[in-house]
Amino acid sequence: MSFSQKNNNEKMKRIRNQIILFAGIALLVVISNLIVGGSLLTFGNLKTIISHAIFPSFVTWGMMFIFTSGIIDLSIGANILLSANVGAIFAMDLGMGYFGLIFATILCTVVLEQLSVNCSVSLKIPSWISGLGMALVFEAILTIYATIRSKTEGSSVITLKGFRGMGTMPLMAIVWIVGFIIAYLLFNRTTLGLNIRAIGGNEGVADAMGIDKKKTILLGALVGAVFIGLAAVIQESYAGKLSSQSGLGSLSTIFKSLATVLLAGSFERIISMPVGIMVGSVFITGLFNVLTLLGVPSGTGQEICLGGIVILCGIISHWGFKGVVK
Amino acid sequence: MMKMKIKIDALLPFAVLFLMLIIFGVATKGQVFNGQNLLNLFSQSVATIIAGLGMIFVASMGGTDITHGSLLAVSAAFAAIVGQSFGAVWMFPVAILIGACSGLLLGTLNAKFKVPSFMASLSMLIAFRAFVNWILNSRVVMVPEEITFIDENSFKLVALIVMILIIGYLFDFTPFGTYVRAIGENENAVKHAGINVDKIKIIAFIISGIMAAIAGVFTIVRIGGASNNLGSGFEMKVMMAMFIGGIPVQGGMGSKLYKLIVGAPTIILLENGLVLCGASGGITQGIRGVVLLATVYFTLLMYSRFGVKKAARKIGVTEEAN
Amino acid sequence: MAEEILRIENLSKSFGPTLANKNINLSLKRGSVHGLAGENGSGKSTLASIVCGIQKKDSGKIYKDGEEYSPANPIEAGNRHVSMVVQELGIVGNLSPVVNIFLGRTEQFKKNGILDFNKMEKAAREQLDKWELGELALDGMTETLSIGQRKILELIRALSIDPDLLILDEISQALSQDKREILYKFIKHFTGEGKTILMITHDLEEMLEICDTISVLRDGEIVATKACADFTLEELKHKMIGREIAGDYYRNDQEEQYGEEVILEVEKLGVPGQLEDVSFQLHKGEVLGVCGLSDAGIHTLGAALFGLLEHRTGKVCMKATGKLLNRPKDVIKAGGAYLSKDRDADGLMLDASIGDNIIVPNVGDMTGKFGFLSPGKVKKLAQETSEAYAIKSTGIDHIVKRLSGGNKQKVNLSRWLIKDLKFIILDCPTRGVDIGVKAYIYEVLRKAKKAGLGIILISDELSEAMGMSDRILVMRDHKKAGILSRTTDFTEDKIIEVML
Repeated sequence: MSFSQKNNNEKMKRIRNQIILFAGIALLVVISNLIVGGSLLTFGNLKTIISHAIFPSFVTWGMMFIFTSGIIDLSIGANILLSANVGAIFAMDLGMGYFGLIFATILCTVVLEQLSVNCSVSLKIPSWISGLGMALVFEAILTIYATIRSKTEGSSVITLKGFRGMGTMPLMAIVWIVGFIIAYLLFNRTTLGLNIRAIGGNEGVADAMGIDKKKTILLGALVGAVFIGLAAVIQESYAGKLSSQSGLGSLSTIFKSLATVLLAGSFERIISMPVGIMVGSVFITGLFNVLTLLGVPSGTGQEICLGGIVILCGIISHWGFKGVVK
Repeated sequence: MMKMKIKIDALLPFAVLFLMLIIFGVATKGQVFNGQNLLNLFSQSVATIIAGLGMIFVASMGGTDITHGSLLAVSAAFAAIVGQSFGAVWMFPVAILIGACSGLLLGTLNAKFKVPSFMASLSMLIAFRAFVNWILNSRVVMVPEEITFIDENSFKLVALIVMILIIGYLFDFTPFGTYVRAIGENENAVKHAGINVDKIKIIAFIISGIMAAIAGVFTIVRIGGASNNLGSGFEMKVMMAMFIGGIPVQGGMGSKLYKLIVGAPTIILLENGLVLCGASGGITQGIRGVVLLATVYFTLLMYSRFGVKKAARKIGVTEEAN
Repeated sequence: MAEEILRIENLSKSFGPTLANKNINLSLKRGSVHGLAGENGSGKSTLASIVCGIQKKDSGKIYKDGEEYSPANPIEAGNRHVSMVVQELGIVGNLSPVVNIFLGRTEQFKKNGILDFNKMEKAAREQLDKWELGELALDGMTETLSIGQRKILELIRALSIDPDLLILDEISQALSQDKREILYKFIKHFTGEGKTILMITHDLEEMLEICDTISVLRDGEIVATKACADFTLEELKHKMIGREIAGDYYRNDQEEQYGEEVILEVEKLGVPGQLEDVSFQLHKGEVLGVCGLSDAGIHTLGAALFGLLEHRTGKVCMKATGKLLNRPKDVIKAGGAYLSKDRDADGLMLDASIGDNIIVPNVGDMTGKFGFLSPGKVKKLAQETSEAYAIKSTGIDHIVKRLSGGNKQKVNLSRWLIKDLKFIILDCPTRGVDIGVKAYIYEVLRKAKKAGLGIILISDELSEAMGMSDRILVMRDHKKAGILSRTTDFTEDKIIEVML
């Protein structure tokens, strides 16, 4: 009797927290809307926000399958840039159309991600270092390609002509919703998802329960890479081209996602990760939308805010943490 | 067995430098040893060593400070702007102040708010770079004439030696240096010895910031002015100078100053040699990435082979982040 | 005679120099409850974890259902229908209870590629209902469950592989009275089906109540195995503890002896939920033992005294100067020191050399002008300490990890004792240390006592506390249960009476 009451209390508490969280977000939105003079909550602007949130959503869902088991891979940005260009080559130069674009991009993302995660797991290098090293290598490959191409073709990377369908609105939104459902099911309703979370939550218990750590991490990276690959396809299709970066410039590609994954991770107790990522990426994209509306220049003022937000998310997600942090 | 370990550990950085000299000596048909090029090598190594002199405190604790590239740019740009308006004497104080503030912020985030240092410093790296873009707004700020004397090799050599002596004193001949390395070995043990670990950590990050700022002034004077991409990729260069010198990625007692001082010219030689061989920027960066992975792997391997470290597990603590 | 389900023959297991299990011979009968009794460190948990595959035996044989049985891991043990509720394995807090139950075995609930949580919950409910284990929330986050509920959860996890031998390590400790009743009923039900339980518990009365047979372990050996009805509570206690207290290495005087001067004054020390209202004084040259059962809070007391725990209440101060000791820094400054029970995690830098370990607490006192730390002086200190305390090694560059437990502890202890200390808090200083070093440490402590050092000796071993202390502070349920004097109160019975 008292027990089921207590159980209900826990559920009520969770629902209450969810209501508080969403009410808080709603309040923020209303206030922001007032500040920018009502231009935030127009249909056109909301459509822009959503279409900008889709790329970080997919990247973050991918990250979720990789980061949750403890692998902080920073090569994802460079991976996206390189894979998207490989996809573009298949679509344009080899004339393989949409199929080439989607298939080649995702395949390339998967291969590169396996390489990067394997480098950390097999060589036992701390994952963030192996990620940085791999990012340098991936960036370099793209840079070399771009240099050669600019000599022979005149432009450094391919610009898609056609194939913009993946980047137009109704389709993007549909892909987004379907992606969400799949990410949700995989993360919460499959053995793989549960095992990844178990390794991240308590490695000792996961080990004692007979979960193969390496296999699980690599499988997680495989699933994650498919999401990231899809993100690359969408972005390539939306933007038309993704330029090469050097000197770890690719990191800025995934910075919003990094903030989102930290944010969603710290609210995991209230809302499930995949949902949190969906909400979080819209929230963070919206935030930058507000900054733009306020006239904060992108590339400078906004990037400064981005750094601040990641730090803030880092603080929130480590709040009350006792133990050694390097 | 024991003695062998120490010998290998101690000699490896020199061996790598020697190997690098031979490889590039042959590949460039002796061009590396050209007098002008050697001076160039020295001149380029100075900033890396100076920044490394700061970063080594953070690295010995097993922490990470990758703000260096952008921090160098921010402090150099401000120093140049202030130098233009108020005279060259203010350049160093302004830069040092900025470096110290950055270190204080990063140290507080890591020690008090428990944000993993690589994540916090990565965020700051991005934010600082944007900040540089903002204040410079794609214009180039020139350094005042009066300060160009610090770019003379003789001055640089003296300054470098003085800095090495000061940092060497702090690192090897004070309790602070001992604590910093001990934190890299076992933070809990240091806490149980009644030492304020948070304070030590914050000071270490501050020193790291200050040295990056000083490196910034030297760099900007050498180049002549501050531009948007000043110091881009510099943090990786400093990190690699330490790894290639054999400073273990997990920090601890194996962190030695001479490893940095040998490692810095090694990494500069690598890049210089590649340029002389005609490698493009892309290839150089790719090789840099591979070398980073290889050196970290080999230092870890060497330590675990001799049963010194379980680094992977130790670093695992860091990654509880998510 | 009932049929045998498990037979252990000549099983031995050692951790470094410590023999955890010596020549164990044991036979478990089908449908019975077999109890393992013993002090902390007597080797009963080691024995249990070997049977369920968490640890591997060094030598000897185990037979399950007449066939040889040597599980490499808990999964293999599970395949042979052996499972265990471990004392401290824990749960994955951010997953739901039902997932925790079937973790690693969730594939069986797959339907159309997706896990069917209803089916999973149903399977868990079946176990709950079958064994009448009461209610348990199966969804939500496991971390919101109470300790007692988590134990029930772990019990279901163990039961879900359908074991016929179930090992329970200190399960009732975490349970409230009503949950215990459920557990006892479950045990009857379980053994009623011809299945067997191997039970470890500190609660001896409980053990006498529910077990059919009891084996007593002491120092890794089985000293008695008898039907429960043949044991009395007194006899059981004596078998467990009843070692000769007058070993050569303990003190042989029978009176408390210490200076008049009070060094440390502790008033109403408390930590929410862990420690309540502890007050005492430590005198010059006194060894104050601290004893209690596993959960009594003796280790918390040490950490709280040193100022490591947050939200501490009460007062710890130096009597002479009135200086308050709130943080580790204050304790060190006032001439105190603390050695944690977990030497490897909290004390030593395992991958560093002996010299580096010795100097860390000392470099702060050794500086000259401008904070100068002379490498010569440092090396000399390390060298002298290492020699003075006879640390067996190839020199001060020897890596600490490769030392034996005893020598590690010598490094740990010596680096503090060379300082000019007024008092020291030692938490289980002889844990995992062989007998020779043990005697040596006692000798060192005796010398320190003579020199006027106040020593707080927290110990899991009653005999050690009795052998070394002037007074013993006995703790029970996170509170001080009493302070006993060497002169009048040092009999086992008296101390155990206060402890239980």
